[in-house]
Amino acid sequence: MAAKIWAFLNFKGGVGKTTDTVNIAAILAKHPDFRGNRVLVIDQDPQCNATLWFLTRERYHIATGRNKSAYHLYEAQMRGSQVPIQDVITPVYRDPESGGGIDLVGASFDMLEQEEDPSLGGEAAKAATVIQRAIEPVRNAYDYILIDCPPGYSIFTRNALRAAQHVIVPYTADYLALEGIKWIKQLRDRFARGHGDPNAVAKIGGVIVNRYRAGFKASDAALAELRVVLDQLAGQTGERIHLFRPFIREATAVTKANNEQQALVDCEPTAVRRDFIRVAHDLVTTFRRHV
Amino acid sequence: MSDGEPGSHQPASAGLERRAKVGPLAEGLRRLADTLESNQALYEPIAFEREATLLAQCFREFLCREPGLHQVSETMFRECRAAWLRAWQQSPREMERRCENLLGRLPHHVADESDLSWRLHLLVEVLAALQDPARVLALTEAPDSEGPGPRSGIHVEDRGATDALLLWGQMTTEEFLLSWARLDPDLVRRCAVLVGVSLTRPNLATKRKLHALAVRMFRNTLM
Repeated sequence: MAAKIWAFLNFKGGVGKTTDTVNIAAILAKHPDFRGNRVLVIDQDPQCNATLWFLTRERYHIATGRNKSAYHLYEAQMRGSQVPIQDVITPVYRDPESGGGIDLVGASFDMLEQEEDPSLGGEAAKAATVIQRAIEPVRNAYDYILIDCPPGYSIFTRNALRAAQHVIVPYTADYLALEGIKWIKQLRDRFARGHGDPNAVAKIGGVIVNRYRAGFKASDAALAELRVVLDQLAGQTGERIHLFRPFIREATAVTKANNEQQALVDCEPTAVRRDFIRVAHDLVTTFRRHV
Repeated sequence: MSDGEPGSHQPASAGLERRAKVGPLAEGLRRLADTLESNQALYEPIAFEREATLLAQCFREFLCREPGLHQVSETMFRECRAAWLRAWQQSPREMERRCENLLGRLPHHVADESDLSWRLHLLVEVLAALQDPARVLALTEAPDSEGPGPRSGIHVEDRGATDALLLWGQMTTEEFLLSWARLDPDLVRRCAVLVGVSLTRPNLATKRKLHALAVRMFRNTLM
């Protein structure tokens, strides 16, 4: 069956896009509830945070030195050619028993240059389908493809919107993150109109609440505002935008895992690790029926 | 009924050494079963058997699912369980809605599974999700009361309160203060919980604050 493709996007930075992408990918590939899943992570953020999380800095340099990054997919487009995605995939984890694992299409700091040329030296519409065309031949080889987006509306975000089926919006309970969600909707719609086909662009699938502080009144008020905005968006599109449960709590275990370049699923059991596992269950259940 | 297996009960004197090996939760489970059995005369035999089986099954499931929750006390679990079943009996639809809001999707109700068994299964799911028996108790509060407290994270789904806040957010402060006397006190209380205002003694300052937060909510949610 073809992989489910999710883009983790919010125009506000620091809301947990990379944290969610990395941890959900690791849970889907490694946790006993899901073991055996083949997951491809595509880092579209030139800051390379997901890439650096999965690879050490040394391995990052080796990978990019061997032209193994999304940069080379875009560069090929600029030259009017195409590179097979297999050439830029770095295996990160393999479970020989279950056959599952994680592969990575890393980002490169060099992508910052490409960001300045939204049409990649050619036709803008075609430039936005580099990732979509690249993953099409390998879509059946994976169960899930997760795209970590940069916090902005660049060529890389547009590629993610074209390639993905659903946008998963990481959110922290504050007003600016809420504005980020509104912008996603507007820009997504504008982008879809530009293509003349609303189905050609990923739909907003749901929101993951990160760094939730139970009992912190300002958080709860912000979540009530989020609920209102999601209802309004659902009213406009006629499709429910899922609020994934549970909310992922604020915890030092996340920072610690990040500093150790580990996914939470590889760390000792904590409450926040359980939150992520439950959210992964909710994600899988919610999108099970989508082909 | 050691380790929750119905029909295999051993008296409390069966051996402290063995109890020490099985851990606090399993011991709690055995004590629960002991209590249940000591009250056996109060039950119909069939009702007792059903109750004992469900209790053991529920706690066993709980133990398997949430190893991090071993510290939940037997007393708290029993309190949760009683409040849970009572709330389901009183307002099943509302409880179903609350569970769905919390869990995203309810576990499948198997054809030959009794309502009681399904509800206890849900209790385990909810306990695991909220990770705090006190929050489970808050979830079982009657629909017409204040609703779950701010720690539950559930009240963000209170549509009535949200709609009221959005309406008040479009009023001037004067209009809001003038309408105060006509407002439903329960609705006001739920709105206050939603935006984090304490209204134990509503005075002009707290009313103004509530209105200011309603204005903020209206403004922040404008598309």
